[in-house]
Amino acid sequence: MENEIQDKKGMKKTILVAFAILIGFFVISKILSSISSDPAQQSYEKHCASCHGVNGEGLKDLIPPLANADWLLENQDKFACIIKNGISGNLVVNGKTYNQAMDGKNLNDVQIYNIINYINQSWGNDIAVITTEDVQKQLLNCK
Amino acid sequence: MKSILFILSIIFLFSCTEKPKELPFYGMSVVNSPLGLDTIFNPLPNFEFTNQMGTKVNNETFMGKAFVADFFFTSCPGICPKMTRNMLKIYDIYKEDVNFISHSVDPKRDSVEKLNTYANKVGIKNAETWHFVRAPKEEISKMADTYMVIAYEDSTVSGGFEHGGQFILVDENQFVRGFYNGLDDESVDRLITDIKLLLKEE
Ligand code: HEC
Repeated sequence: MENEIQDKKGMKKTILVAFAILIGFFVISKILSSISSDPAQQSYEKHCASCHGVNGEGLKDLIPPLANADWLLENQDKFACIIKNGISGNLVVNGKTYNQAMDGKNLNDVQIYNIINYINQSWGNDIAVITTEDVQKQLLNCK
Repeated sequence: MKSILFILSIIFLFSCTEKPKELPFYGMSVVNSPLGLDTIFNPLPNFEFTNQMGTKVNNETFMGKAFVADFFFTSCPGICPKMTRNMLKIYDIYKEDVNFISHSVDPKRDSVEKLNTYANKVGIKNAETWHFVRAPKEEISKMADTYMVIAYEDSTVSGGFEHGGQFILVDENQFVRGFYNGLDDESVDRLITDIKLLLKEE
């Protein structure tokens, strides 16, 4: 009889421990995921990744890559304007021709600044960091 | 040791509680008994489209196999690439067992040749399982109505066409069995599990 009660107590304790562990895992994973996504990454994933991919890889022959893209390296002076106004027509990126219109995005200077630097510094890209002034200057001179 | 076993058994229990569910039927229903207790759903009406190879496809082409449908147009500057990306994810898993139809809502610009180019660009080299189809405007609206989704010309939206981002799941007998948001990863994952259920049903 006494043994049984003891067993029951032990059982309760294990259940509690099990729950504590489960909750612990949950909290830790939430914290980890909130640390790993900075605002710049979040902006990129919200506004660009659906087409260009979470790793900037593009989509087959439809959408050009942003990771290690020669075109992007050579056209840094147009980057902010492309985000703001979109781009269309034939475009050769890493030797492949793309021709699919991209819409402009209604983003503010800081969001554009964040996205550009995130792309320039991700997935093996090693392109110089630009300032918010650079972005503003570019946007004043969009064609 | 005992507590580890216990945790494992809890996890095991949780993973078993989900009952195998059956997918619902959608569509225009006809109430078919005097008491109104039996609801019978109609399958898709007759349709005929032209695919990216210039071949005519109709009900018969798709009969006996489930398919997933969506609406798009090749010069779409907005949501279409994301839908195509998600459709490709499903295609990669189920291309042996399920067919796919992407309805162009832009018959003026989307010639057979344009559709063919688009299909090739996303890596679909022939129309064995994935048909990119065109049809006269009225046919497209009729089809959208049957699926109960939105697809119409609207010069005020980007690209000139309004079309919902839905994926529609149709079963082997051409009854509509599910609607999903082709722009939402979780909804697409639900479609992937629902197809599994549907294939078990067959
Ligand atoms: C709706 C799909 C879509 C979205 C969303 C999108 N793009 Fe694009 N992007 C394209 C397509 C398609 C092209 C190719 C344009 C062409 O062929 O003229 C392109 C081209 C580009 C290019 C030039 C080519 C290259 O790869 O270097 C850059 C840079 C670019 N996009 C950046 C962005 C950024 C940054 C965002 C997010 C703010 C973004 N895009 C969002 C579809 C998209």
